[in-house]
Amino acid sequence: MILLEQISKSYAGGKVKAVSGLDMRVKPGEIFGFIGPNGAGKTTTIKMITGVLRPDEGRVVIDGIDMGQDPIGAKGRIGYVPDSHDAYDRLTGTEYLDFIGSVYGVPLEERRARAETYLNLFELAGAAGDLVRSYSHGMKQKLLLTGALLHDPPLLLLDEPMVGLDPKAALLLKQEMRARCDRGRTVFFSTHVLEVAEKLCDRIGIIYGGKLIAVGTLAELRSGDAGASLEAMFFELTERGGRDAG
Amino acid sequence: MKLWRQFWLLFRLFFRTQLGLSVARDAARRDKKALFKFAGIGLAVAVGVLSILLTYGVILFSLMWPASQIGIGAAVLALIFFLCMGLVLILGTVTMITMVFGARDAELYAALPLSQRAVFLAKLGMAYLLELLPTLFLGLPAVILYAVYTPVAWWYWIAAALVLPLLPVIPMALSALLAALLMRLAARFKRREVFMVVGGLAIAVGAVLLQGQFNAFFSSVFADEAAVSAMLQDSAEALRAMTAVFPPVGWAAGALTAEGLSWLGQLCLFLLSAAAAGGLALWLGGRVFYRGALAQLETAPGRSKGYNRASLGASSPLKALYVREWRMLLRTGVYALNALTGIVIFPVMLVFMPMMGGASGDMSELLPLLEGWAGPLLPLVAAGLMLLPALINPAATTALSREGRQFWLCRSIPVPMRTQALAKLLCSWSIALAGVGLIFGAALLALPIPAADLLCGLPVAAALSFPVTALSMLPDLLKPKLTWNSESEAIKQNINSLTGMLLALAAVLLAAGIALPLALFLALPDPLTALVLTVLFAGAGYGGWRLVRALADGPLEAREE
Ligand SMILES: Nc1ncnc2c1ncn2[C@@H]1O[C@H](COP(=O)(O)OP(=O)(O)O)[C@@H](O)[C@H]1O
Ligand SMILES: [Mg+2]
Repeated sequence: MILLEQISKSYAGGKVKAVSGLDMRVKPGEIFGFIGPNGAGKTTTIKMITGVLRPDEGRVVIDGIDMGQDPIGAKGRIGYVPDSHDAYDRLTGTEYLDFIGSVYGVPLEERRARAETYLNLFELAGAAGDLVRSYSHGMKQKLLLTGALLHDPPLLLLDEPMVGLDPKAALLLKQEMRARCDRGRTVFFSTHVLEVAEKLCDRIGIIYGGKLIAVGTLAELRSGDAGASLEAMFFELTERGGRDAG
Repeated sequence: MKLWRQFWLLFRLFFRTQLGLSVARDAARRDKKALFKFAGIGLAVAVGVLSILLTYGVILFSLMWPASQIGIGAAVLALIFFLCMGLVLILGTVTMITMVFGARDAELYAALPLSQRAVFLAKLGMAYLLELLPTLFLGLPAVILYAVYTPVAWWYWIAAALVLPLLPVIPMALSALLAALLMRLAARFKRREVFMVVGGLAIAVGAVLLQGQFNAFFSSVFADEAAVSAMLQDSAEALRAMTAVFPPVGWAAGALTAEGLSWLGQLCLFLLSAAAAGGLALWLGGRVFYRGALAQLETAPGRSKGYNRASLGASSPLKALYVREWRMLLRTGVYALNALTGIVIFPVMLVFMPMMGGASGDMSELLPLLEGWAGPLLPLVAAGLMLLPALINPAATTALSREGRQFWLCRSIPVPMRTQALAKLLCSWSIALAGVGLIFGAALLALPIPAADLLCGLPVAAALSFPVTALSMLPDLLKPKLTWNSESEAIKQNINSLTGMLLALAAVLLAAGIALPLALFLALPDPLTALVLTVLFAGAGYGGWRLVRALADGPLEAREE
């Protein structure tokens, strides 16, 4: 579903190497967790996958479509929730969803039905007519999630989705992620909270200092030292990665 | 086809968000009184626009009527078209930089399955709409007045209907290229803010100088009778002079006013040039738009690694807040530009204007007049000059609004609001003081005011600048604008900068109203008068601080946001 070939990205004219030579493949029907400490390059990678940033080198392929060659086709298969959402403040929730629905070309009936489902699920229906700027962080997150699910995308891309959600919403989101995978859809999300990744993911990629230092199922990652918690492993790996990089 | 659907979708969205239609509707739904507020604002704006339109109409009439008497109405029309295009070029460049290329929402649209070209086109469409307003405002009355005083054929109106809405296209294309070039250049610089500020100041200074040239040119033309009559006699020559600078103006005017069938040719030329310029800008902008806009979001790495000494330098909360205030101001391009323009522009004007012959004549005539007056007047005039930047000091008038969503930080730190307000006040005052000093220097260099008088004015201005700064801060302390989407919104589209300026102006006028009679009454030697006034204004400064403190402790502390 996602194919990353040797992608690199640096900021500020090469001064800050955010991601370097990342190779990765995410299969359809998978929940893939992308974990790493702050500043590891998760957001940068996700922005390259969504086509917001163009990789300096390398190739991004979504569902067999090359992002560089057909960005619109590729973007149409993604539902994306960024890690910060300061925009669309001057629209109401409904207006925002309408806009997103039109952009992705979702038929009116379908749009209405899905919006209603998710707004009710997230208990946001009452606030849908209000301006987004009156929303709390969690409410904005829920609205963006609803928007991202509106076109039932083959690939759901979430950047730190659990931040700011209350426990109930977080649980709902996890259930939704699971349900999507059971239907053969793919979910890719980043987090710095190991527990979330441990419980939820089919496969995990660990990124550190812009490099992918480990990838595999939880069992595969554990195969070295049996029974170790992801936490212990994570520190092990990032320590080692840090030494290798430095 | 797809492109147009996307364009239309985005355009409607921008229209709604930029004009705040949803916001207005939402407010009206919540609160019927808000409806009256919006209606009131709308009415005030309408009245303001109408009165300007009336003034403009009178000026235009006094130009067009005599011109059409001697058969050169066409030249006046061309001149107005030229003005329209020049205005759009200047406004357009600013719009392009802030709204199109500098837009923070580019990242949002980049993730959606929208073509880059559609997003750019929609942005451009909004910008076009914004530029169309002043174009119609200036152009339409001229087109109508011309037709009133000069007999026109049926095709005049057709040509006008085609030319007028397309007038902004060429200058907008130029400003898009200019803006793209500037952004490109800026992206290469490590310290982009510095580039933005220096570039912006250079443009502002350039504009002032250019205007000086313009004045000098006009005064020389109108001084020379022969030149005037020659110009009036031969309208074609005036047209040619303008079109030599910028041929599309000639085509635009010619399409309406040319004799015989040549209007058709001129119209075609204008339409073709507009299409070419617009097409080129679209093609180019559609390719580099995201790259330009997204490059804006990158930040350069700091020069020093780790927690270096400089960051530990401040010792007291006040000092730390003061330093933070300066950093915030200088590291945000828009803020720095707006805060520093005043203290750069006025001294430059003082130094260069007399050199270009524009204002010097008036100045040297004014001076003996002033000297004929009683002694203390000249130092007071000098002090007034030095206070100009303090009058227009956005650093003070938007001190709290600039915090925006970060305002919670102010509330959560264990430092009383009054200390925070004091830090902001001191920072803004520093700028006003710098203005006082710079104008003092410039006046010393360029103005025929005796140094002794300038020296007497200096402490008076310095002392008065403090209460003036304090007063201009008050509206923002009372009602800061904390929700905004771009920094330029915080510092420019902020009513507080207007009310603050008016308060500052009122304060200076009041001070003048007190100082003048007092100085005349005391009849002391100049330095002693200056001393008395300085002490007086320092006392007023204490009063100003008490006001700031009261607002900081009261409404600001109680604010819930
Ligand atoms: N807009 C930007 N400008 C400059 N550097 C950036 C920018 N965004 C991220 N970086 C740098 O790139 C690196 C990776 O950041 P990011 O991808 O946001 O990490 P994560 O999401 O894993 O916390 C960090 O070192 C960060 O400082
Ligand atoms: Mg991140």
